[in-house]
Amino acid sequence: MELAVKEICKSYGEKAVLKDFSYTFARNHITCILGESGRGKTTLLRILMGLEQKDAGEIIGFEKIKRSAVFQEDRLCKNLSAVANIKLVCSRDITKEEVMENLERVGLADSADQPVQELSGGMQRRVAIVRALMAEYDVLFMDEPLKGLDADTKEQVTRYLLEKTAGKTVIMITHEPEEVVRLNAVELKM
Amino acid sequence: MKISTMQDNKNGGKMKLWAVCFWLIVWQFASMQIGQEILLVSPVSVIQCLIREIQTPEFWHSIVSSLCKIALGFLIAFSTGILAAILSKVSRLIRDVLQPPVQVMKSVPVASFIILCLVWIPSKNLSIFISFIMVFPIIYSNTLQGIERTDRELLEMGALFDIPWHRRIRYIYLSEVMPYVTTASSVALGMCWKAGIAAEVIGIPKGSIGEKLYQAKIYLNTPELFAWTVVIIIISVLFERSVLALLHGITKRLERI
Repeated sequence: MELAVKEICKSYGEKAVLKDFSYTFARNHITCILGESGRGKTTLLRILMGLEQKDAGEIIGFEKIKRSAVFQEDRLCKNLSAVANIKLVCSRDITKEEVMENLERVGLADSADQPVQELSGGMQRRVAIVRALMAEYDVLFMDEPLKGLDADTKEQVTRYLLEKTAGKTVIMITHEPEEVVRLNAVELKM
Repeated sequence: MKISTMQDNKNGGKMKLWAVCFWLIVWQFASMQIGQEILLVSPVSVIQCLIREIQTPEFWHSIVSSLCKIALGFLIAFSTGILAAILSKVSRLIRDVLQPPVQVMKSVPVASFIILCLVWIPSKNLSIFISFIMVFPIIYSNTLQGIERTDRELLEMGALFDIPWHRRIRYIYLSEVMPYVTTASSVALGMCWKAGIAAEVIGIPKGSIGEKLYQAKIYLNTPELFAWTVVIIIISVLFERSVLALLHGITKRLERI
Protein backbone atom coordinates (compact mmCIF):
# COMPACT_ATOMS: atom_id res chain seq x y z
CA MET A 1 0.00 0.00 0.00
CA GLU A 2 1.13 3.50 -0.85
CA LEU A 3 2.47 5.82 1.85
CA ALA A 4 2.13 9.36 0.55
CA VAL A 5 1.15 12.94 1.21
CA LYS A 6 -0.58 15.05 -1.43
CA GLU A 7 -0.65 18.84 -1.49
CA ILE A 8 -0.28 19.12 2.27
CA CYS A 9 -0.60 22.63 3.73
CA LYS A 10 0.11 23.74 7.27
CA SER A 11 0.33 27.26 8.70
CA TYR A 12 0.90 28.64 12.17
CA GLY A 13 -0.91 31.96 12.19
CA GLU A 14 0.32 33.89 9.20
CA LYS A 15 3.36 31.71 8.68
CA ALA A 16 2.94 28.95 6.10
CA VAL A 17 5.24 26.09 7.10
CA LEU A 18 4.14 23.56 4.46
CA LYS A 19 2.59 24.60 1.19
CA ASP A 20 1.18 22.07 -1.30
CA PHE A 21 3.77 19.53 -0.33
CA SER A 22 3.52 16.14 -2.02
CA TYR A 23 5.69 13.07 -1.70
CA THR A 24 5.46 9.28 -1.89
CA PHE A 25 7.54 7.47 0.72
CA ALA A 26 9.51 4.36 -0.17
CA ARG A 27 8.13 1.36 1.70
CA ASN A 28 10.57 -0.94 3.46
CA HIS A 29 13.33 1.64 3.16
CA ILE A 30 14.79 4.44 5.20
CA THR A 31 13.84 7.89 3.95
CA CYS A 32 16.02 10.73 5.23
CA ILE A 33 14.42 14.17 5.22
CA LEU A 34 17.03 16.89 4.81
CA GLY A 35 16.65 20.62 4.68
CA GLU A 36 17.46 23.87 6.38
CA SER A 37 15.80 24.81 9.66
CA GLY A 38 12.30 26.20 9.28
CA ARG A 39 11.45 24.24 6.15
CA GLY A 40 8.76 22.25 7.95
CA LYS A 41 10.55 18.92 8.43
CA THR A 42 9.42 18.42 12.01
CA THR A 43 5.93 19.68 11.17
CA LEU A 44 5.66 17.14 8.35
CA LEU A 45 6.88 14.37 10.66
CA ARG A 46 4.38 15.39 13.37
CA ILE A 47 1.54 15.36 10.84
CA LEU A 48 2.58 11.88 9.68
CA MET A 49 2.83 10.75 13.30
CA GLY A 50 -0.75 11.94 13.85
CA LEU A 51 0.29 14.51 16.46
CA GLU A 52 -0.54 17.56 14.35
CA GLN A 53 -3.50 18.33 12.10
CA LYS A 54 -2.91 19.41 8.51
CA ASP A 55 -4.78 22.46 7.19
CA ALA A 56 -5.35 20.96 3.75
CA GLY A 57 -4.23 18.09 1.54
CA GLU A 58 -4.34 14.34 1.76
CA ILE A 59 -2.44 11.74 3.75
CA ILE A 60 -2.49 8.27 2.26
CA GLY A 61 -1.64 5.00 4.01
CA PHE A 62 -0.78 6.45 7.45
CA GLU A 63 -4.24 6.14 8.96
CA LYS A 64 -4.24 2.75 10.65
CA ILE A 65 -0.55 1.99 10.97
CA LYS A 66 1.35 1.15 14.13
CA ARG A 67 3.80 3.92 14.85
CA SER A 68 7.04 4.12 16.73
CA ALA A 69 9.24 7.16 17.16
CA VAL A 70 12.40 8.77 18.37
CA PHE A 71 11.23 12.30 19.07
CA GLN A 72 13.33 15.43 18.86
CA GLU A 73 13.43 15.22 22.68
CA ASP A 74 13.99 11.90 24.45
CA ARG A 75 10.56 11.82 26.10
CA LEU A 76 11.46 9.20 28.68
CA CYS A 77 9.75 8.68 32.03
CA LYS A 78 12.55 10.05 34.17
CA ASN A 79 11.84 8.04 37.32
CA LEU A 80 11.70 4.74 35.48
CA SER A 81 14.72 2.65 34.61
CA ALA A 82 15.91 2.21 31.03
CA VAL A 83 14.43 -1.30 30.98
CA ALA A 84 11.07 -0.07 32.33
CA ASN A 85 10.92 2.75 29.76
CA ILE A 86 11.44 0.25 26.98
CA LYS A 87 9.08 -2.40 28.33
CA LEU A 88 6.39 0.26 28.71
CA VAL A 89 5.96 0.48 24.93
CA CYS A 90 6.69 -3.15 24.03
CA SER A 91 4.29 -6.05 23.86
CA ARG A 92 4.07 -8.05 27.09
CA ASP A 93 5.94 -11.06 25.70
CA ILE A 94 9.19 -9.10 25.38
CA THR A 95 11.40 -10.31 28.24
CA LYS A 96 13.87 -8.34 30.30
CA GLU A 97 16.66 -10.46 28.79
CA GLU A 98 15.70 -9.30 25.28
CA VAL A 99 15.69 -5.68 26.42
CA MET A 100 19.08 -6.20 28.08
CA GLU A 101 20.51 -7.67 24.86
CA ASN A 102 19.38 -4.60 22.95
CA LEU A 103 20.73 -2.21 25.55
CA GLU A 104 24.02 -4.04 25.44
CA ARG A 105 24.19 -3.44 21.69
CA VAL A 106 24.28 0.32 22.33
CA GLY A 107 26.62 0.09 25.33
CA LEU A 108 24.03 0.54 28.08
CA ALA A 109 24.06 -2.87 29.77
CA ASP A 110 25.51 -1.45 32.99
CA SER A 111 22.93 1.32 33.27
CA ALA A 112 19.84 -0.72 32.48
CA ASP A 113 18.30 -0.62 35.95
CA GLN A 114 19.16 2.97 36.85
CA PRO A 115 16.42 5.63 36.72
CA VAL A 116 16.99 7.38 33.39
CA GLN A 117 17.23 10.77 35.10
CA GLU A 118 20.60 9.60 36.43
CA LEU A 119 21.90 8.88 32.93
CA SER A 120 23.77 11.35 30.72
CA GLY A 121 22.11 13.04 27.74
CA GLY A 122 23.79 10.68 25.27
CA MET A 123 22.74 7.62 27.27
CA GLN A 124 19.14 8.82 27.48
CA ARG A 125 19.18 9.31 23.73
CA ARG A 126 20.26 5.71 23.24
CA VAL A 127 17.49 4.49 25.56
CA ALA A 128 14.99 6.43 23.42
CA ILE A 129 16.42 4.81 20.27
CA VAL A 130 16.27 1.26 21.70
CA ARG A 131 12.72 1.93 22.90
CA ALA A 132 11.62 2.99 19.41
CA LEU A 133 13.32 0.05 17.74
CA MET A 134 11.93 -2.56 20.14
CA ALA A 135 8.32 -1.35 19.90
CA GLU A 136 6.07 -3.01 17.35
CA TYR A 137 5.60 -0.74 14.36
CA ASP A 138 4.73 -0.45 10.68
CA VAL A 139 6.46 2.91 10.27
CA LEU A 140 9.26 4.27 12.45
CA PHE A 141 9.64 8.05 12.71
CA MET A 142 12.86 9.60 13.91
CA ASP A 143 13.74 13.26 14.40
CA GLU A 144 17.52 13.61 14.39
CA PRO A 145 18.02 10.40 16.41
CA LEU A 146 21.82 10.50 16.44
CA LYS A 147 22.12 14.12 17.51
CA GLY A 148 24.38 14.63 20.50
CA LEU A 149 26.15 11.27 20.25
CA ASP A 150 29.95 11.15 19.96
CA ALA A 151 31.55 9.67 16.83
CA ASP A 152 32.21 6.17 18.25
CA THR A 153 28.77 5.84 19.82
CA LYS A 154 27.17 7.17 16.65
CA GLU A 155 28.87 4.41 14.67
CA GLN A 156 27.82 1.75 17.17
CA VAL A 157 24.20 2.98 17.24
CA THR A 158 24.09 3.29 13.42
CA ARG A 159 25.11 -0.37 13.07
CA TYR A 160 22.40 -1.39 15.55
CA LEU A 161 19.84 0.82 13.83
CA LEU A 162 20.62 -0.56 10.36
CA GLU A 163 20.31 -4.13 11.59
CA LYS A 164 17.03 -3.55 13.41
CA THR A 165 15.37 -1.56 10.64
CA ALA A 166 16.37 -3.83 7.75
CA GLY A 167 13.38 -4.18 5.44
CA LYS A 168 11.26 -1.75 7.47
CA THR A 169 9.78 1.63 6.64
CA VAL A 170 11.61 4.43 8.41
CA ILE A 171 11.14 8.16 7.97
CA MET A 172 13.81 10.24 9.63
CA ILE A 173 14.96 13.82 9.80
CA THR A 174 18.65 14.55 9.69
CA HIS A 175 20.91 17.53 9.17
CA GLU A 176 23.88 15.45 8.07
CA PRO A 177 23.94 14.45 4.36
CA GLU A 178 26.53 11.72 5.12
CA GLU A 179 23.93 9.92 7.21
CA VAL A 180 21.93 9.33 4.01
CA VAL A 181 24.91 7.41 2.62
CA ARG A 182 25.68 5.63 5.88
CA LEU A 183 22.11 4.43 6.21
CA ASN A 184 21.74 3.66 2.51
CA ALA A 185 18.63 5.83 2.64
CA VAL A 186 16.38 7.55 0.13
CA GLU A 187 16.85 11.30 0.31
CA LEU A 188 13.98 13.76 0.57
CA LYS A 189 15.16 17.35 0.26
CA MET A 190 12.78 19.95 1.60
CA MET B 1 2.46 24.78 47.77
CA LYS B 2 5.84 24.51 46.21
CA ILE B 3 7.75 21.44 45.30
CA SER B 4 10.82 23.20 46.65
CA THR B 5 9.62 22.40 50.17
CA MET B 6 10.99 18.92 49.67
CA GLN B 7 14.28 20.21 48.35
CA ASP B 8 14.61 22.71 51.19
CA ASN B 9 14.27 19.85 53.66
CA LYS B 10 16.86 17.84 51.81
CA ASN B 11 19.29 20.72 51.59
CA GLY B 12 18.73 21.54 55.24
CA GLY B 13 20.31 18.19 56.02
CA LYS B 14 19.90 15.97 59.05
CA MET B 15 19.82 17.33 62.57
CA LYS B 16 23.25 17.04 64.16
CA LEU B 17 23.48 15.21 67.47
CA TRP B 18 25.98 17.72 68.87
CA ALA B 19 23.55 20.57 68.12
CA VAL B 20 20.79 18.76 70.03
CA CYS B 21 23.18 18.20 72.95
CA PHE B 22 24.20 21.85 72.87
CA TRP B 23 20.59 23.01 73.22
CA LEU B 24 19.90 20.45 75.95
CA ILE B 25 22.85 21.83 77.91
CA VAL B 26 21.58 25.40 77.36
CA TRP B 27 18.16 24.27 78.60
CA GLN B 28 19.61 22.54 81.68
CA PHE B 29 21.76 25.58 82.44
CA ALA B 30 18.85 28.03 82.08
CA SER B 31 16.67 25.83 84.30
CA MET B 32 19.37 25.74 86.98
CA GLN B 33 19.76 29.51 86.80
CA ILE B 34 16.02 30.15 87.19
CA GLY B 35 15.86 27.54 89.91
CA GLN B 36 12.08 27.07 89.74
CA GLU B 37 10.87 23.88 88.08
CA ILE B 38 7.40 25.31 87.65
CA LEU B 39 8.73 28.04 85.36
CA LEU B 40 11.35 26.10 83.46
CA VAL B 41 11.70 22.43 84.18
CA SER B 42 15.09 20.81 83.62
CA PRO B 43 15.60 18.18 80.91
CA VAL B 44 16.57 15.69 83.61
CA SER B 45 13.18 16.13 85.34
CA VAL B 46 11.41 15.77 81.99
CA ILE B 47 13.19 12.48 81.32
CA GLN B 48 12.35 11.24 84.82
CA CYS B 49 8.69 12.17 84.30
CA LEU B 50 8.71 10.50 80.91
CA ILE B 51 10.10 7.26 82.38
CA ARG B 52 7.33 7.31 85.00
CA GLU B 53 4.63 7.94 82.38
CA ILE B 54 5.86 5.23 80.02
CA GLN B 55 5.19 2.64 82.71
CA THR B 56 1.50 3.49 82.97
CA PRO B 57 -1.08 1.90 80.64
CA GLU B 58 -2.89 5.26 80.22
CA PHE B 59 0.19 6.68 78.55
CA TRP B 60 0.04 4.12 75.75
CA HIS B 61 -3.73 4.28 75.58
CA SER B 62 -3.63 8.07 75.06
CA ILE B 63 -1.03 7.74 72.34
CA VAL B 64 -2.90 5.02 70.46
CA SER B 65 -6.20 6.85 70.78
CA SER B 66 -4.88 10.21 69.52
CA LEU B 67 -2.69 8.69 66.82
CA CYS B 68 -5.47 6.50 65.42
CA LYS B 69 -7.89 9.41 65.14
CA ILE B 70 -5.42 11.85 63.60
CA ALA B 71 -4.13 9.17 61.22
CA LEU B 72 -7.71 8.34 60.23
CA GLY B 73 -8.35 12.02 59.45
CA PHE B 74 -5.18 12.09 57.39
CA LEU B 75 -6.10 8.94 55.51
CA ILE B 76 -9.60 10.18 54.65
CA ALA B 77 -8.23 13.57 53.51
CA PHE B 78 -5.44 11.90 51.53
CA SER B 79 -7.76 9.64 49.58
CA THR B 80 -10.55 12.16 49.05
CA GLY B 81 -8.01 14.90 48.19
CA ILE B 82 -6.51 12.78 45.42
CA LEU B 83 -9.93 11.70 44.16
CA ALA B 84 -11.19 15.32 44.17
CA ALA B 85 -8.08 16.43 42.26
CA ILE B 86 -8.67 13.79 39.58
CA LEU B 87 -12.34 14.79 39.30
CA SER B 88 -11.35 18.48 39.15
CA LYS B 89 -9.04 17.72 36.27
CA VAL B 90 -11.81 15.90 34.44
CA SER B 91 -14.55 18.45 35.15
CA ARG B 92 -14.22 22.22 35.29
CA LEU B 93 -17.56 22.34 37.13
CA ILE B 94 -16.27 20.18 40.00
CA ARG B 95 -13.15 22.34 40.24
CA ASP B 96 -15.25 25.51 40.46
CA VAL B 97 -17.55 23.96 43.06
CA LEU B 98 -14.60 22.83 45.21
CA GLN B 99 -12.69 26.10 45.03
CA PRO B 100 -14.62 28.04 47.75
CA PRO B 101 -14.51 25.29 50.44
CA VAL B 102 -10.84 24.60 49.71
CA GLN B 103 -10.07 28.30 50.02
CA VAL B 104 -12.01 28.46 53.30
CA MET B 105 -10.12 25.45 54.67
CA LYS B 106 -6.83 27.09 53.70
CA SER B 107 -7.56 30.51 55.20
CA VAL B 108 -9.69 30.00 58.31
CA PRO B 109 -7.52 29.76 61.45
CA VAL B 110 -7.48 26.27 62.90
CA ALA B 111 -8.64 27.53 66.33
CA SER B 112 -11.82 28.97 64.74
CA PHE B 113 -12.51 25.62 63.10
CA ILE B 114 -11.96 23.73 66.33
CA ILE B 115 -14.33 25.93 68.37
CA LEU B 116 -16.91 26.01 65.59
CA CYS B 117 -16.79 22.26 65.09
CA LEU B 118 -17.19 21.56 68.80
CA VAL B 119 -20.76 22.78 68.36
CA TRP B 120 -21.48 20.08 65.76
CA ILE B 121 -19.11 17.21 66.44
CA PRO B 122 -18.56 15.25 69.67
CA SER B 123 -15.18 16.16 71.10
CA LYS B 124 -13.93 12.57 70.83
CA ASN B 125 -14.15 12.76 67.02
CA LEU B 126 -13.03 16.35 66.65
CA SER B 127 -9.38 15.56 65.94
CA ILE B 128 -10.38 13.34 62.99
CA PHE B 129 -12.24 16.24 61.40
CA ILE B 130 -9.58 18.85 62.17
CA SER B 131 -6.89 16.57 60.78
CA PHE B 132 -9.01 16.19 57.63
CA ILE B 133 -9.49 19.97 57.33
CA MET B 134 -5.73 20.51 57.55
CA VAL B 135 -4.73 17.82 55.07
CA PHE B 136 -7.42 17.94 52.38
CA PRO B 137 -6.60 21.33 50.77
CA ILE B 138 -2.85 20.58 50.69
CA ILE B 139 -3.25 17.15 49.09
CA TYR B 140 -5.96 18.39 46.73
CA SER B 141 -4.07 21.48 45.49
CA ASN B 142 -0.75 19.70 45.06
CA THR B 143 -2.17 16.66 43.33
CA LEU B 144 -4.13 18.87 40.95
CA GLN B 145 -1.02 20.89 40.26
CA GLY B 146 0.91 17.67 39.60
CA ILE B 147 -1.74 16.40 37.19
CA GLU B 148 -1.85 19.77 35.40
CA ARG B 149 1.91 19.84 35.03
CA THR B 150 2.18 16.30 33.70
CA ASP B 151 4.49 16.54 30.78
CA ARG B 152 2.42 16.95 27.59
CA GLU B 153 5.27 15.51 25.60
CA LEU B 154 5.12 12.29 27.62
CA LEU B 155 1.37 12.09 27.08
CA GLU B 156 1.97 12.51 23.34
CA MET B 157 4.56 9.74 23.52
CA GLY B 158 2.01 7.50 25.28
CA ALA B 159 -0.55 8.19 22.56
CA LEU B 160 1.91 7.56 19.72
CA PHE B 161 3.06 4.22 21.10
CA ASP B 162 -0.55 3.36 21.85
CA ILE B 163 0.22 2.53 25.48
CA PRO B 164 -2.96 1.18 27.17
CA TRP B 165 -4.67 3.81 29.37
CA HIS B 166 -4.11 1.95 32.66
CA ARG B 167 -0.38 1.79 31.94
CA ARG B 168 -0.36 5.50 31.02
CA ILE B 169 -1.98 6.34 34.37
CA ARG B 170 0.42 4.12 36.28
CA TYR B 171 3.69 4.94 34.58
CA ILE B 172 3.22 8.44 33.14
CA TYR B 173 0.71 10.24 35.37
CA LEU B 174 1.66 8.58 38.67
CA SER B 175 5.34 9.01 38.05
CA GLU B 176 4.81 12.72 37.42
CA VAL B 177 2.28 13.31 40.21
CA MET B 178 3.85 11.30 43.04
CA PRO B 179 6.59 13.86 43.85
CA TYR B 180 3.83 16.46 44.36
CA VAL B 181 1.81 14.07 46.55
CA THR B 182 4.87 13.14 48.61
CA THR B 183 5.82 16.78 49.21
CA ALA B 184 2.24 17.65 50.11
CA SER B 185 2.07 14.68 52.50
CA SER B 186 5.30 15.68 54.16
CA VAL B 187 3.90 19.15 54.90
CA ALA B 188 0.41 17.93 55.77
CA LEU B 189 1.56 15.21 58.19
CA GLY B 190 3.21 17.66 60.56
CA MET B 191 0.33 20.09 60.32
CA CYS B 192 -2.45 17.55 60.94
CA TRP B 193 -0.65 16.10 63.93
CA LYS B 194 -0.19 19.52 65.55
CA ALA B 195 -3.70 20.69 64.70
CA GLY B 196 -5.19 17.38 65.89
CA ILE B 197 -3.52 17.72 69.28
CA ALA B 198 -4.64 21.37 69.47
CA ALA B 199 -8.20 20.18 68.83
CA GLU B 200 -7.86 17.68 71.66
CA VAL B 201 -6.56 20.34 74.04
CA ILE B 202 -9.62 22.47 73.33
CA GLY B 203 -12.15 19.62 73.11
CA ILE B 204 -10.56 17.56 75.93
CA PRO B 205 -11.74 14.11 74.82
CA LYS B 206 -11.17 11.47 77.50
CA GLY B 207 -7.98 9.43 77.28
CA SER B 208 -6.25 11.55 74.65
CA ILE B 209 -2.87 13.27 74.49
CA GLY B 210 -4.72 16.61 74.40
CA GLU B 211 -6.43 15.79 77.70
CA LYS B 212 -3.07 14.96 79.30
CA LEU B 213 -1.64 18.28 78.11
CA TYR B 214 -4.67 20.13 79.40
CA GLN B 215 -4.45 18.47 82.81
CA ALA B 216 -0.74 19.22 83.02
CA LYS B 217 -1.53 22.87 82.32
CA ILE B 218 -4.35 23.06 84.92
CA TYR B 219 -2.22 21.51 87.67
CA LEU B 220 0.82 23.52 86.61
CA ASN B 221 2.62 20.22 86.18
CA THR B 222 5.41 21.59 84.02
CA PRO B 223 7.47 18.36 83.85
CA GLU B 224 4.46 16.45 82.55
CA LEU B 225 3.66 19.24 80.08
CA PHE B 226 7.21 19.06 78.71
CA ALA B 227 7.23 15.27 78.78
CA TRP B 228 4.06 15.10 76.68
CA THR B 229 5.46 17.72 74.32
CA VAL B 230 8.52 15.54 73.81
CA VAL B 231 6.24 12.57 73.14
CA ILE B 232 4.27 14.61 70.58
CA ILE B 233 7.47 15.58 68.77
CA ILE B 234 8.73 11.98 68.69
CA ILE B 235 5.42 10.62 67.40
CA SER B 236 5.19 13.43 64.84
CA VAL B 237 8.60 12.50 63.42
CA LEU B 238 7.83 8.76 63.46
CA PHE B 239 4.39 9.31 61.93
CA GLU B 240 5.81 11.46 59.13
CA ARG B 241 8.70 9.09 58.39
CA SER B 242 6.49 5.99 58.36
CA VAL B 243 3.93 7.49 56.00
CA LEU B 244 6.63 8.88 53.69
CA ALA B 245 8.45 5.53 53.68
CA LEU B 246 5.17 3.82 52.86
CA LEU B 247 4.49 6.27 50.01
CA HIS B 248 8.03 5.79 48.73
CA GLY B 249 7.57 2.02 48.81
CA ILE B 250 4.24 2.22 46.99
CA THR B 251 5.72 4.53 44.34
CA LYS B 252 8.67 2.21 43.75
CA ARG B 253 6.34 -0.76 43.49
CA LEU B 254 4.06 1.02 41.05
CA GLU B 255 6.98 2.11 38.90
CA ARG B 256 8.17 -1.46 38.53
CA ILE B 257 7.34 -3.09 35.21
